[in-house]
Amino acid sequence: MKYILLCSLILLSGCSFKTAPNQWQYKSANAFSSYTKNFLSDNQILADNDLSRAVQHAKKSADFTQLATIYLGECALNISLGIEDKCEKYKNIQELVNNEELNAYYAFITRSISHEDIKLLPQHYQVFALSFNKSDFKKANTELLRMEKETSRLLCASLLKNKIDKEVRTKIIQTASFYGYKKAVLFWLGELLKNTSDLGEVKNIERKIAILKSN
Amino acid sequence: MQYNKMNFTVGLFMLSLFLLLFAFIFFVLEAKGTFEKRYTYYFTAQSAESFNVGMPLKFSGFTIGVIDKIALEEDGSVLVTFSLKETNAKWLNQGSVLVLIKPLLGAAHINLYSALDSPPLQDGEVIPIHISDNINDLIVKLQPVVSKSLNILNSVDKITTDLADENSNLKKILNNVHIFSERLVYDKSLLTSVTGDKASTQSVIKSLNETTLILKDVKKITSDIAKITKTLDKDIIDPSSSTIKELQIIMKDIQSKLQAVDATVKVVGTYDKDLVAIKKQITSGLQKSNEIMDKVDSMMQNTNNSKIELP
Repeated sequence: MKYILLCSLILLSGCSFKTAPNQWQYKSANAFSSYTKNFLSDNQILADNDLSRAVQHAKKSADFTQLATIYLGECALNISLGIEDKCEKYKNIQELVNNEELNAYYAFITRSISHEDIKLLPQHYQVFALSFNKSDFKKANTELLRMEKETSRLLCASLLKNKIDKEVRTKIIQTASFYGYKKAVLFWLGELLKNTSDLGEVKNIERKIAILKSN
Repeated sequence: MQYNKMNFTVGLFMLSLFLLLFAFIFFVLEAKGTFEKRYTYYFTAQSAESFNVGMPLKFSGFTIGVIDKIALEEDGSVLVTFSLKETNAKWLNQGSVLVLIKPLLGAAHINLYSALDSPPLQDGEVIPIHISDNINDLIVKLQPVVSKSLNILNSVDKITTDLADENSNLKKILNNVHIFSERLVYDKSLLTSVTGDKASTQSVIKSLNETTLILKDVKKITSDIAKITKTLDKDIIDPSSSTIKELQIIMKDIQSKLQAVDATVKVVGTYDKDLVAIKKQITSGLQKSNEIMDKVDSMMQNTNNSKIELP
């Protein structure tokens, strides 16, 4: 009886889930995903912790692609909120990674992408980048609204902020509001305020900003 | 097909789980001796006062059984039922005797004394019991000692009463000694009878007179010294002693303050180690919370992707 019990215990202990050996990559990706949401939602303390964890996990490997992607993602999110960022962290390790796709993405978010490198960008950015490079801003506006991913929309809108249509700006505010991305809402309300001449509307926007900024 | 396989696996898992659970309960109960056969025996006592249900039965210091039941019989005696495990039944045999031990300190218990080569006792038999009351035994042993002590005290009382009595022999002896010593001082003939000749007697008397004069001088000198020391007290010693007293108070105060400072310095000295330990604990706590955050993230994220999603 004791042997049967022992065998059963061994059998049951074997019924556990097998985990992937590259857990650091999964954890890093998950932490960065959480960072994106918390950063845009203005949960700064949580966002800092998420980013710190993402970097910490990425630094467990000698392959710096994950780390470079995190740095680039951080830079892209800053740019999407109109924060000036020259992606210094990414540039520090750019040579160690030497990834063409990441380099193309870096060039794209710093508005310096060449026509040849556009094909290296993710599919949903390619038409937008092409229109942007050709200064076809009308098409770029249209293309921006066709993007499904809200963070991509925010990034492209920020790149296009001086040439953005009023309707597109309003839709961007709606998108940011829908997702609860407070930082993006405040940034785009600020842009709306800059581009509004109607005094009544200006007052309303200012009140909205004041309410959002109050605790 | 896949669904059936999953059903079978889940069923097998549940079955194994229940089997394991029952096996665990069985082993626990078996280990506690629930399934073991118990042997029951009896003894009768005059009173149930010293017994209670659950009272241990000990053999060589080990608890081998307990009292299960105490019942009052028709004849006024008390029937006590106790039981033993099968493994412990061998210690009870036909020559066995139970002794109730009521120690001065600690709980009462029953001791079993057995002759190991005697034939074993059958289940349900009655065993004799003796009661050993340590407290009462002690009182009985102390009674003669107390009686003797009282006698001694009475004798001492009688002696002191005799001494205090004016007509007692001891008092008479003391009076006689007193009279003799007085006569020895004033009566020269008596002194001569002690010394042997008159010249010696004169010498003794002269010596005594000189001694008296010397004693007078000594008395004068001591009174002079007393006067000098009195002056010293007022002029020098009193102020000095008051200063010393103040100094002593100050020194005591400084000492108490130094002790406090010393304790503080010691405590501060231990803080650096504590801070390092606290820092380590905080760091490990943060790492643990980060691990939890990682797990929460992996549960909360819809996608299970190892690649970073750029905006």
